[in-house]
Amino acid sequence: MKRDDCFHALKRRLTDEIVVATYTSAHDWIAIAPRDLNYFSTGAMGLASSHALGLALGNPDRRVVVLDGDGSLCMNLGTLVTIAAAGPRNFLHIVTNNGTYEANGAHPLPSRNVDFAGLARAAGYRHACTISELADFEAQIGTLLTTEGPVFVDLHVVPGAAYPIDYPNLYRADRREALKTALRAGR
Amino acid sequence: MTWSETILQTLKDNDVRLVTYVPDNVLTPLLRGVTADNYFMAVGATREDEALGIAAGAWMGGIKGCVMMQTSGFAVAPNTLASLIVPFQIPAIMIISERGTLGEFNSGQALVARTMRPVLDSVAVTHHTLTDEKTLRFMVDKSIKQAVSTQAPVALILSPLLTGGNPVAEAKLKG
Repeated sequence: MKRDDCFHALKRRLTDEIVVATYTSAHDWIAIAPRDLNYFSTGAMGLASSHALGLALGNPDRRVVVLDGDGSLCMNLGTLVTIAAAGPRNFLHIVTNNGTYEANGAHPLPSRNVDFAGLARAAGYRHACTISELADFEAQIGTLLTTEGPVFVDLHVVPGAAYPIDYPNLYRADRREALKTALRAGR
Repeated sequence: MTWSETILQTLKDNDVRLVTYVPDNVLTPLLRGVTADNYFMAVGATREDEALGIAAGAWMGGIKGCVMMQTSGFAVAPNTLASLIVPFQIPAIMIISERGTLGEFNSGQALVARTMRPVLDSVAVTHHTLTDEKTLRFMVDKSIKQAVSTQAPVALILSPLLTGGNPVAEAKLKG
C-alpha cells in the first residue's frame, strides 16, 4: 500500500488530534492535511515520538498521533521503553515502514526483518499491530484512534506520489505559534 | 533545606512540572524527590537526547520541562541542542551533575567533562556552575525565569563543591 493513501485515510478520520510528523512523512502530511494541529519541528533525527510524548503529557485530553519512520525509530529505539513506561492513554504511534532511510538517500536499514510491533509489544505498549493492506488500515484506523494507548501500528508501505521537499516551509515559526494557539484555545 | 530540596522547590516555584532524566548517582536526591512528589511528571528516558526531545514536545504543549543528566550523558546531546533546542527556541532547563573533576577516578569521565563547557559555548547555551547553597536558589530561580522569558535553554552544572561529588568516586579515592 502507498503511504499517501494511508495518510488520506487517516485525514478523513481526524478531528482535534495533534499530528507529529517527521521527515518524509512530514513532507507528505503537510501536503495532504495542512492544519494548525500539526507539528513538524522535530529537529534532531529520531525524536518525533519523544516530542509526541511531551505533547501527550501536556495535553492528556487530546489524542496525539505520531507519523514516525522506521529509520527514525531505529535512531531512537529506547523511545519504545520510555513511552510504554510513561503509559500515555492518548498516544497513537504509527511507523511508516519502507525499509529505508528515505530522507537520506533511501539507503536500506541494517535489517528488513524487524518486527517493530513485536518490539513495541515487548516494551509494554497496550496495543500493537502490523498492517500491510490499505483496506485493513481504512477499516481499523477509526478504532485505533480511540483505543487506549499507547498504541503502536507498523504500516508496511511504499512511497506514493512525490510531494514537495521544503524544510523551511515545514519549520516555519508561525506553524509552531499556530499549534500553541490552537492548543490554548482548546483548554 | 538541602541543595536538592532547594532546587526542587525552585522548580515548583517556577511551574516546571515535567522532569525528564537519565539517572546518575549524584542526581539521586533530586530524582527521589521528583518521583515521590505528584506535583512533578517524572519521565525516565533511555538517552539524554530523547529526554530533551520530550521536554521540547512538552514546551510546545504548554508545559515547562527540566532535563537531568550527568556530564557524560550530556556528551550524547550536542546534536539535539544544535538542531532542535537552540534553533527552535526551547527553554529546556538542563541540570547536569558534574563528573570528571575534583576527585575523579575515571580517566574517561575526566576527559569527556572537558568537552561540556566548550560545547555549550559553541552553541551559545548559557551555563552556570552551582557551587554553594548560599547562591543556589537565586541562580536556579533567575536562570529559569531568563530561559522562559528569552525562550533559550540554560545548563545548570552541579559542582562537587555543592553536591559532595560522586560517592563511588569518593570511596575509590579513599581506597
